[in-house]
Amino acid sequence: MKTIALLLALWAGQAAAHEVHHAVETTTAVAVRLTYADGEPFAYEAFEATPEGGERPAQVGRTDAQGRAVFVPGNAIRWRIKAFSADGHGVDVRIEVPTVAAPTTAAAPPPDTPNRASLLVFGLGLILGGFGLYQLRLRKTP
Amino acid sequence: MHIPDGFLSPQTYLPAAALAAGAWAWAAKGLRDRLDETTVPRLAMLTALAYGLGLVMVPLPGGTSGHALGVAMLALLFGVRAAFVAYSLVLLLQSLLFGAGGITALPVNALAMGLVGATAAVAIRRLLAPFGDTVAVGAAAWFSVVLPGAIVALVLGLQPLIAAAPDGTPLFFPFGIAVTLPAVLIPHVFIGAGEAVLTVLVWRYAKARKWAAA
Repeated sequence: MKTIALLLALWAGQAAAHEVHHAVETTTAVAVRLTYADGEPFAYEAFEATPEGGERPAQVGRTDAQGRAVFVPGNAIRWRIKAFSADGHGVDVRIEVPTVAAPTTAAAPPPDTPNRASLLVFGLGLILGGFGLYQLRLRKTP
Repeated sequence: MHIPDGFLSPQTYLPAAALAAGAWAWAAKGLRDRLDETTVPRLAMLTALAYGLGLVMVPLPGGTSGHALGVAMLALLFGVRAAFVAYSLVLLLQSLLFGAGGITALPVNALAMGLVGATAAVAIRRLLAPFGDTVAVGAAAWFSVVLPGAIVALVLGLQPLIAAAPDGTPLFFPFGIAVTLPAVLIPHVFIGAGEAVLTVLVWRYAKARKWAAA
């Protein structure tokens, strides 16, 4: 009987070691929104968030339905965000986030980048212009 | 299908860059002899079309989306070498201007889509020529999408084996071939069908105007 009690006590102790406890914390997180070029969310895809200089990701997970990769930055400011789908789409970007002490609601405005239509026309211009120059070269050198 | 930066290990993209450099040199050699004042504007127009096609996303079954390549029509009308050079230019611009595909991944993307895609298109068309133009050109275009897709899937799927931390954690891309092959190929079966229709239409248009040389 004593032996059985001892085994039960040991088993219970081991079982307790497998429990996962939880605690609710209020903290500051960063959400990086990822979308395809057409605006479709890069949803439910794998991502890694690694602080600058870190060898391993501090956070690995999946983006949510709206394509947001959410992680808790702590004191690290510069992060590398890598997100990938199994078919080879994704991004590997370096971002800066506000420190925990800084007001997190004042997000930095997005950089002033040219819109997609301008880039499309610019690229078409480069192609047609490049071939035009090649054509001129062909005419000049018989 | 455009592999972004950061997904491929140096063990992959450095040898690929050496291979691509050789392939680009081979493709550029004698290009002037094959192009003249008549073909250059046509090549420019279809290169611009391929560039635009790569940026138009079409919804696909399963919630994903894809885009046509346009490499088959380049290859069938201007040959493998010109198509490879032109499509490499397309990939470079898409990468620099839109971030569609990475600079470090450009050699792999160019070899897969530009060289293998163009070669497959020309070879399949010749092989299936007895079945008629529509079948041969359509199949050529389909394979010009699916074969590069398979190569991209294999290259991505091999990354966990090529570059991993001592504990086995993949350093560049986490999914193996068992995941990447179906993930890339299944959508590209549909994309290939769309590419086939588009290429046949362009081919007929070009043939009616006696552009086709291949």
